[in-house]
Amino acid sequence: MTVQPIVLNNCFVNVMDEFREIIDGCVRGERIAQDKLYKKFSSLLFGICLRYTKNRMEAEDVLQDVFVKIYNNIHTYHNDGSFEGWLRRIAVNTSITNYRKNLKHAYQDDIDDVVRMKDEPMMVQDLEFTAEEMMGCIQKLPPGYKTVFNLYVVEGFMHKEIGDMLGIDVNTSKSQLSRAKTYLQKELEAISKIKIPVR
Amino acid sequence: MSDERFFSQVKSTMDHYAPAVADNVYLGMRRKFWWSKFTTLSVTRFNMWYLLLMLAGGGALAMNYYGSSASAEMPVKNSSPEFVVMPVSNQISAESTTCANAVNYSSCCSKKNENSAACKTAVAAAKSCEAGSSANLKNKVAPKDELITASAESANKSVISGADEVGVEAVVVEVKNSVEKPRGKKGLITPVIVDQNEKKE
Repeated sequence: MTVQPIVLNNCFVNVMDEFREIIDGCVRGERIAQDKLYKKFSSLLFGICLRYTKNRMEAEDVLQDVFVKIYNNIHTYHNDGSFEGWLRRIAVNTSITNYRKNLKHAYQDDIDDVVRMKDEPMMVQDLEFTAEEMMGCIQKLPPGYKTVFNLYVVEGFMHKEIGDMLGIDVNTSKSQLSRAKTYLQKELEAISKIKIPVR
Repeated sequence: MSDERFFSQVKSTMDHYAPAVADNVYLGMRRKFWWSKFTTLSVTRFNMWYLLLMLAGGGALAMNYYGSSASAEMPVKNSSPEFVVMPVSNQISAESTTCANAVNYSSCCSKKNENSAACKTAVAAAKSCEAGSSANLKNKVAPKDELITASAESANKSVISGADEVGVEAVVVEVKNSVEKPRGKKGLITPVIVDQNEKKE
């Protein structure tokens, strides 16, 4: 009974030591350490960027900005929390900055989709969707809905926090989440119909 | 399906989604990172601000060097007056002809008419011509120390002082105090000299 926590603790220590080494190297500006960090976390952070952007190209652009920010500010990270969490937060913030930058065009998209939207309750069958399928559907969402949906559902922020982050009202955040959910369920239902043909 | 269940399904699917990243993204990121370092102000490494400082310093030095060499090459000009009066050779030669006529006329004066006013004037003129010609008219150019500066009001047609008896009429030459360098023209700046008499004509 006493062995398992020690092993886990050792693993944790080893992981932290490895991160510590990379972090210290990055703080010193060592290219090898920077490359290690990129190799280790680029895919994970790219997944986050993809969720907030329209396409791969835009996501790649945001990912580059994310790593530039990480390298420039890594000296501000102290061992006061999860390193991965810190990286994820930078990726989310950079994605939000990118969203704000493209806000003019996003507004136009939202109006178009509001007209198209119907508040019908959608019933998605209890199917397993792959991450790619889910990502395809999320990317189709209008930018405003997509951002609120990701922040609330995946990142776990409250409506108040989302409102503060995006500069919108709490009720706007709630309504956008509701519409995003409806939109997404509709898209997923279309996929599920393809998956299980109607007899 | 309830909201919570749907949201948790999405979260569990998307939470650790990590697609492959293309190789060119890394190169682009490196380029962006280099640029961000280059544009950030830092004392410890060479960056854009050092470059700008060097360029500005070099520019200032070059301006200083070329500016001083150009001013050294520029002719000395009078600072306060706007006009410089100096004789012109063709005017002097015209006056010397007048002198010669006076000498001729005086030689024609006989003892009978030597007391006449015309003869007296001609003789006086001939004498002054002889005296003056040795000093000024030999070179047919006024020496520098006899250049007369005049105010704008009186300079239009003044006579050189000291040359009154010679009767040399001065020509007004305007020297512009402000020297403008034409655009796109390299090299030394030359002052623009405008002949007032030519202007009048």
